Amino acid sequence: MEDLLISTLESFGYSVRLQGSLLPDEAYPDHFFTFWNSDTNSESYYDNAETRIVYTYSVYFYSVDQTLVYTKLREAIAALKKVGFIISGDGFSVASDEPTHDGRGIIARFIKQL
Amino acid sequence: MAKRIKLSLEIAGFDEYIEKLDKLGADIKKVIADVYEQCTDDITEDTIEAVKEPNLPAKGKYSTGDTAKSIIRQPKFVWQGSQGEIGLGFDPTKKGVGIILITGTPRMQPVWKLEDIYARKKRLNQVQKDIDEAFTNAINELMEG
Repeated sequence: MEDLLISTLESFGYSVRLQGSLLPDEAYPDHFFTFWNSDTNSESYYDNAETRIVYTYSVYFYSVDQTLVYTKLREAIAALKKVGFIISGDGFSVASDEPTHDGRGIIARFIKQL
Repeated sequence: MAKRIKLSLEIAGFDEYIEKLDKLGADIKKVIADVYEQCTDDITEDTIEAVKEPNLPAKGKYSTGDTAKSIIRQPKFVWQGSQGEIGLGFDPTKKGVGIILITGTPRMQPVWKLEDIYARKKRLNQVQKDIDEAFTNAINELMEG
């Protein structure tokens, strides 16, 4: 599912990185996405085999533009929903390592039938 | 996300528990508050453990102790009319980086132990089971007089 998540986010033209993967001395891009797979949970079983998995991702957008963190994340929500991700709400603020950047995040889930 | 982590659960059979407690003449609000406080006790203990220096990024090299001090140590279930909640985790009115340790940053991965408590379904499922069991026990005790 991460392939689908990454390719959907990459379609916005910004870099997409794993949360925590920027090096200590690596400059933040002006605008970028990060993601993190916080959970992969088997939801149902049949005949001793799992039949459904729920993937849970945190998706964050960071930007030097305080308006873009809202608008771009909302566009990302729409795009992710279009390809099957389940997202509730309108996001939440998150801290960044750099005072130049604001950040907002969402939780995106994907149910995969096996 | 500058707020306390609020545990929101939809308990299957909740209405039936309330109905039974009501018929038994129980102080429903007190029973619910006691059940939630009892069943979330170990979340606080596990949070304290998770922010010990060996579990933190860079083995706690940058730790000042403020995050541990910001942990809500004795969470209380609070009623607001007919709705109630129990705040767990980190108090945003105090200094500390608890929320950041859960979400991570572009340069810092989330702290695994905190993610396990607050971001993964397995832990919430267990708390739900504990609450189910606690309600059942409370009802049985009331029925036995």
